[in-house]
Amino acid sequence: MNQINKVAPQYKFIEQFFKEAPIAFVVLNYDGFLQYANNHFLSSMGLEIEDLPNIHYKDITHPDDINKVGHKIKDLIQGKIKSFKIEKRYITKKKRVIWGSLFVSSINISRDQSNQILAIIQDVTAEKEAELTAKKRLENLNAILENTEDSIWSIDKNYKLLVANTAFKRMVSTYLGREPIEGESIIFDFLPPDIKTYWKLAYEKALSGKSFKVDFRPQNNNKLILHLTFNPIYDVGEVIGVNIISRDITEIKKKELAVKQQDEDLLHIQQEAKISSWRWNKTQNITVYTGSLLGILGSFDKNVIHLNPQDLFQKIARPEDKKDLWKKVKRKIKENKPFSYETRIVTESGKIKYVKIIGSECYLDSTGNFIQRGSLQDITAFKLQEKNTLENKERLKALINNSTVGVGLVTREGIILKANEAFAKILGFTKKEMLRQNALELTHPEDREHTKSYMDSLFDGLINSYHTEKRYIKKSGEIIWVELTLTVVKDTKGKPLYTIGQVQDITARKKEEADVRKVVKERTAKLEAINKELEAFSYSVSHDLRAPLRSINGFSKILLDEYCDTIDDEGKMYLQKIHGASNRMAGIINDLLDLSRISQYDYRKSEVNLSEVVFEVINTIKTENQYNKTRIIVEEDLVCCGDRQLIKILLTNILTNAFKYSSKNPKPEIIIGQKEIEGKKTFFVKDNGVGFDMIYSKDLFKDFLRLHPAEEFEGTGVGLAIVKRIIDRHNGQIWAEGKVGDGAIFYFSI
Amino acid sequence: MIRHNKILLVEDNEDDIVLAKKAFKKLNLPDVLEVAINGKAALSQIKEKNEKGENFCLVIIDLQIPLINGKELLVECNKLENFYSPIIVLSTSSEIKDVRDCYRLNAASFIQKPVDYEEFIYTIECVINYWLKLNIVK
Repeated sequence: MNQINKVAPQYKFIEQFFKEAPIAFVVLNYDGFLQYANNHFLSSMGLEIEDLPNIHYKDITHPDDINKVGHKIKDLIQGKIKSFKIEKRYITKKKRVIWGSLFVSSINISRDQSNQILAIIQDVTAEKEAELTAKKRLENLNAILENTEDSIWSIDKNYKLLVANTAFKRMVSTYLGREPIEGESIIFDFLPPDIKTYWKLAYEKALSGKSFKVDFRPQNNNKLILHLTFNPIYDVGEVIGVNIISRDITEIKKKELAVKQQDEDLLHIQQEAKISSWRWNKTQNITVYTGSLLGILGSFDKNVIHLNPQDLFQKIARPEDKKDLWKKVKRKIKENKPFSYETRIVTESGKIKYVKIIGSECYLDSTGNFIQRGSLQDITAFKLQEKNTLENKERLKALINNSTVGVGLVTREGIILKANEAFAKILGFTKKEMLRQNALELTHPEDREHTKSYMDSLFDGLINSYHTEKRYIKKSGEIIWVELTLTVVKDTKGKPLYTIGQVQDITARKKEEADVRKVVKERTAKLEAINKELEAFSYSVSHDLRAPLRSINGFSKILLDEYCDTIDDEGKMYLQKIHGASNRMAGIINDLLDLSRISQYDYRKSEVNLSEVVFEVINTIKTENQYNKTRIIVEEDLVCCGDRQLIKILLTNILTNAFKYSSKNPKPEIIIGQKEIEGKKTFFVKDNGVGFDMIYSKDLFKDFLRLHPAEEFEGTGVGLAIVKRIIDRHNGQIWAEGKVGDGAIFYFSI
Repeated sequence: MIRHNKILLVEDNEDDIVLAKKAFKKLNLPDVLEVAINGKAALSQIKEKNEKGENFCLVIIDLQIPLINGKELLVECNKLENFYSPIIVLSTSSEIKDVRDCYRLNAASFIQKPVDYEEFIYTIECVINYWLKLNIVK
């Protein structure tokens, strides 16, 4: 009742009707001040009736809505409108927002009163909030639709586009050149005929009321895979269209394939590596083995794959190992701890295999199961290899230790890392003492520089091994000669670590060599002296022997010429013989001198075109003699290595013989060529002359030996001796083949 | 036309002297030859001629001659101020060293003495034809 009293008298009338109404009711004056409000309004706003006259509607209106309401009220006051409806927000005393749906009209309560404004307000906060949430949701949905990569669209029964998201529009416009328009047929002209058919069939299927999903590969692009979802759209139980979602799953498919490939690869690798991995779901006691478990276990029965690892190990363990190793494994499994062991198992066929078993740390998977993973690997091959390597190493060690050749490992700086008994013995140390020595310091001072240079070359990678002879100084101070072979040992990256040296004491040999050198030197000196003598002898021969010959020759000639009247025919014949003999002897002396000259000749080796020399020689022989009917065949470009001057003399002698001894054949012929004999390049000179008896073939090259009398063929018998000397100077070989009356072949190699 | 100046033959071998004289005689120059039987004699004969202001028109020497050998004789002759005779070496040797040494010592010619007498006569004929007929010595 207190409240009623506080109400202005003119509103009593209104209050009679609205005080307790379940709807809010307010009266404002034209200035906007609240004149009256019923209980519903007051309690909703947290106001008291006595507050009212001082409250302007703007004070309780949400700031964003003030303008909107103000305009309407202005229109109302000016009489433009009689009433209006509006939704606005109120701010309660406790600063809460209330949405109100208002019906506002101007009223005249009494004549003396200026016009009033009446507002009936319904609290629509709940509806507004629901509406806003729905709006927000729709906005979110739209945002998702618009922002998704998936193309989403719907069509009606005639394939006309109803609605589509941006992704769809974007996709279509890349082909169409513009965005598709709603109401447009979705069976676009740019689609190839078979694709058109595909879509039509798919749409029809959905239009028949079926929801389905399908992976679609547009044929023009084999890589692209689309995952399509078709859903019919119903209206009042009738299909009116189809909604389609298209998702590009190319990448996903690719990844799926890659994962599959990886799985296959992994399996393959496991098989190659003879490894089987296991995954033991301990909670459910289910074990999955991958790879070739049975292959690894040999002939174990197939049921083993149903055992869990613990039972499996129990089955494959050798009885003698069960106590210790497998017990440990069992405990680790029980305690869910990781383990890794190598052990042996026996297959059913009795074969022993080495296996490595590994178990990982246990973990809980996403479904709450307790999982332990691990592997079983057949490492027999590695083990055997390891054993082999170890054995080889041992054997090598034994070999080196017992070798009579000194072996040592030496660093660049000369530090001896290892030395065998023999190496130590060579230098007069014990094996132990050797390790404190430096190889460089043990080297003779005069050889150190050289040693350093090849050690550098070895460690700088310029050479891999080096062979040398050098001097060491023994513990006793004695100088020894060794033959040394060094090989550099590199690590896996190719970095030199040290050298392995093989050392042999060659002091005795060196001494022998020195002795031999001394002997050779002495002999050479002697030979040189002999040569000098020979030279002097040749000189005097040329001079002293020729002088008396000249007398014999000259006087016998004078006797024949000037005293022919007083000497009878027999006497003349004898004089003739004396004269002839002196001439032959002069020839012999000339040849002898030639021979001695060859031995002393300072010869120079070079490549010689033998064919060219042959032609030169033939020309000289032909100018000096009458061998015009001889047919000559020379192979072209015969090449050898030797002294051109000597080779010319050699060929002169051989060819002179060939011409000479074939001159009595009516069709003389000489062939000069080359042939391979016992893998050696061999030249030959073949004639069709008188030949010789093979019995004498060994004597052919002896000094002054003649197979034919001088009356038949001229000559001193020195020619082939000269040839032999020249061949000897070239370290070559010469021999001849022949048959009496059937020509001769001279073979020679230089 | 042959200039009748004397030729000096330095030769120790008596047989060779006889054969040489015979050869000259056969070539119609019987009196042209003067003989020295060793190097020393040859040198004094050359000097004697020099003192008279004369020179042999040709000196033929062997290398292997007693007392002063052929090469030494060449050296000595090179020292003589008024000596201008061409010296011809007629030797049984044809060693390269001998030939080259002689030329270096101003020998005018080096000829090998043939063993065959007929060849010898031919050689002497050639020498005369060149050195006494073509060659000029003043």
